[in-house]
Amino acid sequence: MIRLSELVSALTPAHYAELSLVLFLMVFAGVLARHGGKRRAAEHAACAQLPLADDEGGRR
Amino acid sequence: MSKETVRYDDAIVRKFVTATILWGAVGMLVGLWCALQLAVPRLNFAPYFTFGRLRPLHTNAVIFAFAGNAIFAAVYYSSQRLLKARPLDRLSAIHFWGWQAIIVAAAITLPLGFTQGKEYAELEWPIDLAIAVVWVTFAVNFFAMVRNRREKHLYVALWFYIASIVTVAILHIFNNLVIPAGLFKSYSVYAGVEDAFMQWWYGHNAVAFVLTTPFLGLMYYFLPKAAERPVYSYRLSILHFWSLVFIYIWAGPHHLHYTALPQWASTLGMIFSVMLWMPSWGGMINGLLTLRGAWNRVAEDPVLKFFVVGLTFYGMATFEGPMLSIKSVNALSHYTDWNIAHVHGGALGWVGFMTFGMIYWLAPRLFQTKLYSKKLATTHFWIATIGIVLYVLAMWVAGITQGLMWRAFDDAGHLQYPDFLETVTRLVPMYWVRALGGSLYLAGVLLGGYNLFKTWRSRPASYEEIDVAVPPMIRAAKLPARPVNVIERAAEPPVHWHRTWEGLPALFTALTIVAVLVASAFEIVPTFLIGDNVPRIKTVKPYTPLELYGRDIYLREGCYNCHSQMVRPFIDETVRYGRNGKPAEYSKPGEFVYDHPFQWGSKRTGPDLAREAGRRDELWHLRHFENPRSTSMGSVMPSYPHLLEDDIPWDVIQPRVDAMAMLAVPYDAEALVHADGLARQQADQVARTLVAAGGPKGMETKEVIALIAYMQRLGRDIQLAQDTQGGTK
Repeated sequence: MIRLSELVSALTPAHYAELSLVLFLMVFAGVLARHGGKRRAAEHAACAQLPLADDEGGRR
Repeated sequence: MSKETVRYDDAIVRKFVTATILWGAVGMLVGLWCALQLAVPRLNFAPYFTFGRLRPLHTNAVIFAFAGNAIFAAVYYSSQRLLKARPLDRLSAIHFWGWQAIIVAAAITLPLGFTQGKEYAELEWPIDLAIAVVWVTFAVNFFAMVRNRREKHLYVALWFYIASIVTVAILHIFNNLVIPAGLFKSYSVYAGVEDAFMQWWYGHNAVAFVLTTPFLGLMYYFLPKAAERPVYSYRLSILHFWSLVFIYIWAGPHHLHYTALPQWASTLGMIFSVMLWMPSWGGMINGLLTLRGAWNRVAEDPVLKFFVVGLTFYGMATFEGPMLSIKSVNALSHYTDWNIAHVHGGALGWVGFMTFGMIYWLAPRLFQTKLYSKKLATTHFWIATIGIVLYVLAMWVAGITQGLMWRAFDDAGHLQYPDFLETVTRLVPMYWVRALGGSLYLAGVLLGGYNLFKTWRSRPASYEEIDVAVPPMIRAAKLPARPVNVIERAAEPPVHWHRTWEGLPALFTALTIVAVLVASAFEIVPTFLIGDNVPRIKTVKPYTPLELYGRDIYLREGCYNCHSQMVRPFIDETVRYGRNGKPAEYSKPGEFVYDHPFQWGSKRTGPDLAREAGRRDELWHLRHFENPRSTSMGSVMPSYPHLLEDDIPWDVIQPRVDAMAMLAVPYDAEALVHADGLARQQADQVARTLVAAGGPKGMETKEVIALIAYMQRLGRDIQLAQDTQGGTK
């Protein structure tokens, strides 16, 4: 049975570094693709108001 | 309209704000004392109040007591309002008093010399356990608010809090895995390269998830409140969050450039550190642009002044950090005061100013009265700003001066400053400027404390408790039935994926944990499992029982705060730490396989000690420990006369050897049953050597003997390897 250390050692450290960069770029691209456009402008504007509306208007 | 109400718990916020100011003053006073000790060594009072024992107290107090309490104040105030939910009172009380008890325990045990010997993780295992319990209490209390919330959307500040809560727990647990060897003594389960990696994975991310992300949460809540306008770009804040969470965790190895850490890990750390610059500046710009249209108020409002300068320091520190992580820059800056300048730019400028801005904004609301003096708050701002500038400039000059002096060669190819001490005494004027800057900053804190005290004095006889009308709890509210009609369905507002996540805090938290764990695993797994990361060296053996105890003294006295044990592969270092005209071997990973914990250090106020064995005789060491000025004129090292008076507690040696054996350190059968006897034998030998050299008699039972034995071991094994290869033996 193959040991975990052999499995890990099958890749060189450079591969890990490259994979990690690809992973990061995918996450970055994903977030950017979803939030980069103007489609969600109204939603974002509403979210941004939350701290300003948090303890006003409803006191008794 | 809903008839439900919630009454926010501002008492817990008042408590944490008060603790922030009190512990901030204490932590900074200790810091100022440490700064003065480097200029005036007489200010070291052995054994309890030496630089090596006080510096961890300063760093722990400022990070976990000052910044920690500020974070809790921010979290409790803003989360209640953003979630429209009250925390559980009993858990809040346990959290507050538990955390203060931990701080008191740290303030007592660190001067007593109880330490794990790892920077920012010095506290011994019983206190570490208490931290874990209190942190979990905090987490449960926070997530109880999330569960009982009445606002579906989790505002961006809350994401930063969630990331901080889960990541700090992961970091704390994994870096503090130890084998106890007594009530206040333990050894890290990791050794050498692996311990160094874990420590800086922890250390850098303590900066990230204690000193950065919670304060970004604070910024995203309190800055819009103070500016009375929403954050400039909510979209940018989303990008800021995910980029930071994903990138930060990789950056730790930049603290170990050119050390025995494998190069691939160091390079990976550098790349991700440089990448960090972008999201950090995105956050800073987002903060500053939030003030669009309100800049005229900055001139009048001390709260906005603190926030603007705090954000500016965030920008400066997050530019300087990536720059220092570039290997060629790091080669100059590492081990020098440049790092001290960098960390204080972040701590005093970013963390401190955001905290004070928040406190001045909160004070009238928490104490339900006017701030006692806006003028005093403005004075606080200006003297603190001047204080930081003096501090940081002095340390930049000191750091670059020392780095350049270490590497300077004369025309004949010799080190221009071969005496390390010369590179230290040259910095003393800068240490005075630093002390002046620190004094100004501390004066500002005291002024702020006075202002708050006077504000508190004018509070009403009893605080008005307000019931805020709120919508029903999200978990109790039933979702409207989905329209059956296709046309009605098409008209439904789209449920965006990110908003859906935010509505599902458990999933959101899980994704954050995954981002942190994946990033950690990509560095940690290869570090631990690729065998050739740490090639073994045959001549490297475990420390003898006496050397092990001597090493424990080295840890106890906090020698790692000023001395490194890492000769980097630079010609100026191998020449400086060589002997008899021969350059030293640079440090190899295999040398440290029995070092639980590693002691590579992060600052050289004194010279590197990795090749100390045999450089000086035993009597020199004894005199040096008794009074460093007697052997090294102008030295700023504390005196340790107690080492010549205190007896070695022989009975602790066996349990410590046993604990090391549990960590697979290959002690032989005799050491496993007669460690104290072996230690006594070696102590007798060292004491005889001392007497033969004209030293004092009767030292064989004194602690200094163990420390000398350890000093004379440092680098000896690699020397043996060299001699064996060279055929000299």
